[in-house]
Amino acid sequence: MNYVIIGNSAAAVGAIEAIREVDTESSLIVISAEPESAYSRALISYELAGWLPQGANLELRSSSFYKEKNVQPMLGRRAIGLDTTTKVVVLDDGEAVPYDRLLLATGGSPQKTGVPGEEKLGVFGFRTYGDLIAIHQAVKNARQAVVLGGGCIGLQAASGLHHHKVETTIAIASDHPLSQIADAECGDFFQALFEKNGIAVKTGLQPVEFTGADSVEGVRFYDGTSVPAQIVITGKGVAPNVELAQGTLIRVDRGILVNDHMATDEAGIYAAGDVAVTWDRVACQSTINAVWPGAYQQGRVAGFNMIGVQRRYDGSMRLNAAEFFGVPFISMGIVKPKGEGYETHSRMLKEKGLYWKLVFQGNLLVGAVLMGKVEGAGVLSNLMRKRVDVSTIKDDLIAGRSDFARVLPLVKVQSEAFGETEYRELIQ
Amino acid sequence: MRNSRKVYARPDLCTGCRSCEIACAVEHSASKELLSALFESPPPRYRMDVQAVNGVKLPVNCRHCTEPDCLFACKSGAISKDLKTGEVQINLAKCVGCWMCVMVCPFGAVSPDMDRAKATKCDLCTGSASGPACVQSCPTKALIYGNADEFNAWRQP
Ligand SMILES: Cc1cc2nc3c(=O)[nH]c(=O)nc-3n(C[C@H](O)[C@H](O)[C@H](O)COP(=O)(O)OP(=O)(O)OC[C@H]3O[C@@H](n4cnc5c(N)ncnc54)[C@H](O)[C@@H]3O)c2cc1C
Repeated sequence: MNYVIIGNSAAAVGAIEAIREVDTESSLIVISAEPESAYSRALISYELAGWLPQGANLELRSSSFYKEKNVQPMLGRRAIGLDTTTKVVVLDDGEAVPYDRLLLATGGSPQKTGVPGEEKLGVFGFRTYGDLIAIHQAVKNARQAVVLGGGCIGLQAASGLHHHKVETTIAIASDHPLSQIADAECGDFFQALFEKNGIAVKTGLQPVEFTGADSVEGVRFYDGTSVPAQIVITGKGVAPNVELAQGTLIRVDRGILVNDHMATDEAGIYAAGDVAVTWDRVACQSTINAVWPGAYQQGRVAGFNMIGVQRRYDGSMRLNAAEFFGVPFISMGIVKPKGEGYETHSRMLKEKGLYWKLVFQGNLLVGAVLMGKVEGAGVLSNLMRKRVDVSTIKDDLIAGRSDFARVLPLVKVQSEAFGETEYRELIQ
Repeated sequence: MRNSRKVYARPDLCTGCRSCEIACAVEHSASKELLSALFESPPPRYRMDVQAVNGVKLPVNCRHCTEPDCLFACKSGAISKDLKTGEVQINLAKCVGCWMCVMVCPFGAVSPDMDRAKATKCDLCTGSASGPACVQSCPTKALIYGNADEFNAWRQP
């Protein structure tokens, strides 16, 4: 058997580790367009902001990882074609790599803004190690920067530029930061926090042009105002890298469609991670949940199924964790419900820097935001993921009590949802 | 992994005295002495949490899960599972305090140590010859360090 993985990030590592738990011998090839060995792209923001522990780097696994896992890495090689009849992956230099089972773990690329001037020097996406290195170079000669987008990544990128003493403005189309994943109350708190720390935040602003000749000199906005900038970072979201699926039987609807074995419609071909459309268990819809835990787990499930060990993926959910200027923040599930049938409870204690919000749909917990204090967040995310009836402990949850012992009665009564041995160990 | 060992509890024997919490904090202090540990700054953290709800006392710590969600979520590569011993460990030199693991642990057993910007959980007192300090300290023998078979034999009345 020839196992081939295209991609070398969260989903790929999940698949490699699963495959090698069972089969240490078969040929396993990892192809990646990026030349680096597996690293955490989710930490490029930490690196830029100087938040890595001293001596730590971005390596996801030890330097002997490929050797230990008996993997043949083909790094710095881009796959440009996929022939499903002859079962080969074609690389940019023409080499054809045969496969019996193939995993597409190609992730995503920064969404283009569509704003004129996007190709100018100094306009960056914030996705790869390459981007990080380029931005490190750019901060040396830049006085001002604009970050477009007020999501977690935009806010982290701004912190990073600020750390390098670049005067930074965050420009957000909506009326508060984190607008996709938190209410105005919470977003406004972070806006004030950023401003207090010397980072300007401008809301309700759409860019219309990146000005300058070859190099960017500023951003012009819809309202006629401009902000000078020698660096622009765009944080407009991620587009899945689906090109290889074109011309095959693999169905694409924004991302690659898979079944609960992470298998595509093309025999022997699987997909996982930011490129794959999965069932969101909490929102009850098919979507791309482009988050690290989902990517790793999907890769793991795909890996097992590729080697013939049946595993089902039980679905994804939205999960975001971050920390800004010492204030931790977690947002998960549905936190801005639209339509009827939801019950929300929220509380802001501004002086203490604390905020929390819970969203219920009938007897189910479907969303939570925790700011300032994030302890026990996993207990909540699991109640969401498992879709268990929480009616008997709802008051506790609303009061902010979510230690595991409160969940224990649910584990006993709804035992079919808590089948894992780890739960059985805790009940008598 | 049938033989992997971890700390198991019997809530029926637990009186809620919290000796385990103190022993855990001391073992994870700089000085490893109760008195000096009390004055350390930042204070040492315990990773064993005795939770008392509706009369039940439940000592909760890391379950070293077969399918560890914390590891799957760890974007810094700091969390690993030893496939021989079953132990799930956090490499603090790599942990960046991103709280991904905190967000997914079903037991709330990984907590954010805001003072040190590190995720914290039971490490089974690796390196201590006498085994997990919580087990040693429990006056009612409500905790054991063993494998699943030993635990099951022990909890049968
Ligand atoms: C700055 C930043 C911060 C983030 N923070 C968080 C966070 O806090 N929490 C969280 O859950 N998620 C976070 N994310 C998202 C997280 O990083 C992604 O969900 C995760 O990386 C997805 O992994 P993946 O394996 O699906 O794909 P990717 O990480 O996108 O990797 C894709 C791989 O495929 C390769 N590839 C693509 N096309 C080809 C081709 N044609 N030929 C060869 N190789 C190819 C690439 O080189 C790469 O190795 C963050 C992302 C960024 C950029």
